[in-house]
Amino acid sequence: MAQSVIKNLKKQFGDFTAVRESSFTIEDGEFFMLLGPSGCGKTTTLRMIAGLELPTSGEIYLDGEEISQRRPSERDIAFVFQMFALYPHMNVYKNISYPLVSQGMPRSAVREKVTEVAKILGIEDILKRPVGGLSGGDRQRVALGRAIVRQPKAFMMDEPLGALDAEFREHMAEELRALHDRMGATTVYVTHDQLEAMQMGDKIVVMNNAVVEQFGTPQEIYDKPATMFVADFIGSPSMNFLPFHGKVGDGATEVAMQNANFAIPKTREPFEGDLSFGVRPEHIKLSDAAPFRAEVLATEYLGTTQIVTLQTAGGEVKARTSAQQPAKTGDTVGLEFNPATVTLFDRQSGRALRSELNEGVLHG
Amino acid sequence: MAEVVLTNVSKSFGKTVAIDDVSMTIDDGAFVVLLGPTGAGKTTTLRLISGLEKLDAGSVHIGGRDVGSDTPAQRDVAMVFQQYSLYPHLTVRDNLAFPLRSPVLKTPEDQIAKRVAQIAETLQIPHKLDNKATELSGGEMQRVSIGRALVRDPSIYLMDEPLSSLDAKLRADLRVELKRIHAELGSTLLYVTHDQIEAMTMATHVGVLEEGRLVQYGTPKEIYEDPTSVYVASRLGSPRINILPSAIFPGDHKGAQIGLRPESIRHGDGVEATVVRSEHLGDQTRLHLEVSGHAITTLIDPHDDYAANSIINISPQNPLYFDASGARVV
Repeated sequence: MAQSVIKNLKKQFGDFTAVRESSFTIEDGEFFMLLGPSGCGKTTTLRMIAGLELPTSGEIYLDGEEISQRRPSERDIAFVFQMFALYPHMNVYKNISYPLVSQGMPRSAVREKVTEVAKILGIEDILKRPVGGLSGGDRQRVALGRAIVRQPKAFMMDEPLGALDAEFREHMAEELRALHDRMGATTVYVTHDQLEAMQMGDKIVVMNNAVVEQFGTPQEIYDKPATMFVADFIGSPSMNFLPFHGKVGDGATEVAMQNANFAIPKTREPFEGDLSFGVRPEHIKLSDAAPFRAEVLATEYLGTTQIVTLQTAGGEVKARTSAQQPAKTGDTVGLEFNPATVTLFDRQSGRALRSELNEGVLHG
Repeated sequence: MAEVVLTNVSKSFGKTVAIDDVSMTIDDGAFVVLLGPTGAGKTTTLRLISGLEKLDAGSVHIGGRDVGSDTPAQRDVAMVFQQYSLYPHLTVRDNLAFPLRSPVLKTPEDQIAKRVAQIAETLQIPHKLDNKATELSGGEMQRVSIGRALVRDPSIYLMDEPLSSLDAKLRADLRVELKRIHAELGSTLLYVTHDQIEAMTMATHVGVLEEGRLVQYGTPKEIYEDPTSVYVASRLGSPRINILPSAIFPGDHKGAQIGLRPESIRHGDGVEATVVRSEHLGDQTRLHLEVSGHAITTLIDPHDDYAANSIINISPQNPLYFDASGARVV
């Protein structure tokens, strides 16, 4: 659908602000994720892009043209919902062909299109079946078929996999992404599942409380979170936060916490006050020699790796280590943090302090 | 707490065989997780032990006693279900006390109060004791339903996917908590799930069920490192193990199929693989490859990237071999 630019988009329902401030750019052909907890405004944002809601203020540019007040039918998009809305009295073929038939397309052309779509989705052999008896996966494929058969410029998907069980969801996620790669149309996808967003998305917008907290590629958002909310929401187990009161100068490469000094990426701003020291579980190393001590509270075996829960003087942390790393409940160990990956946060506002690590990524 | 022994247990519903000749010993104090997809027979096994279903064949012994003809109440088991079933009009305290007030147990009130306080502490909900059940969050409600089982001191706790309706973060917290509670109480626990993470992280022993049969029983490490079949190997590990025809790699092979965990693939030499896509999950990056029409997933450094259609060379490292039927070849 070419490039879409979303600018200062806002939506109010009476006194309630569903979206306070949404700005980001969707490039042509991207698999684009709107991620956040329920009530964060992601679905409302999607509906405004689709034209199902009119924004209270702000603009949506499609290829440079402002379209925020246009009707959905003028935007050439297809919508896929969480609950597969199929016509129960029609068979698979009729369900998929419905959008074409209602456009008045000649029957032979319809047949050709439906056959092609059925082939892409691998459902050629069930075209004559009623939708009632289908498995969850096949129903979802039929719903997708009905969306892609029109060959719209863009797909809008609102938690299309939310109703499926975990194992199958992962399979369908792969299938969806492969389908996207084959078709090349832009997809805007709403989810509350961070793993789904990381797995499928080219870009992710993380929303919370009606505002965009961060916008970027999955790896960027993971490595260089703009806020504590993002750092906590992305990743499993999520980032560890050690709260402390302290001070860093502009250009500092160390910070004092719990009477010890820890190396950090060179800071780009001074700060004094309540801080959180943010470090991801895989960047914590158990080391006998390290002076920062911790007690092992629990270990969780995961095959190749394990999660070790530790009590430190600064609070509880989780480390992800090799499963070969000896650790058992009650042990006292030393901890090392990979200094290049540390983010400091202003604990009051939740904002990440600017540093060598995240410069160029953070807005504002 | 007691040892629970299943001997040649079978159960059918009409023509469907739900449980097929299962024998298993749950040691006193063990945390056993039954793992399998929907329909593998996990819940039926639990219901047969609890007495909610009658055996077709075989026997169940709890603490050395054959319980085949006992009612559920006589078997002295405590169950936790997927959907929390609390009394909405009662407080958390009364919900927790309820099982102890049953006419069978006749527990004195002062003992009940003591036990409820103790369990509330373990579950970290003492400040919620006077709340109505309906005033709790989902996670708190599930903790109370687990607590309602824990107030009793039964022969065995039976739990049927107690965490599956909770969100990911809460599930992770409660996994650690359940494991801690188990260690603290020294209880015997049989836990049913289709979630491999729960099985690996909590269990002392995992039983893998396939279409009503117990196909492997061992520690999580044994099941992960030494699976007896393709089916078992595919149950643990994320991303899933790659099962491929051995012949796509040169050299001698012990079996027709080779099993390679994503982390057991060496990069830099060997056969040519075409990159399909990389997925950046943050802590790991998954690389989807194709070799002679077969999809392969491997792991690369989180910050590495390969363009689609580029070529990398891969070779097996610590492979597991299986015959054509899927049985392990050692």
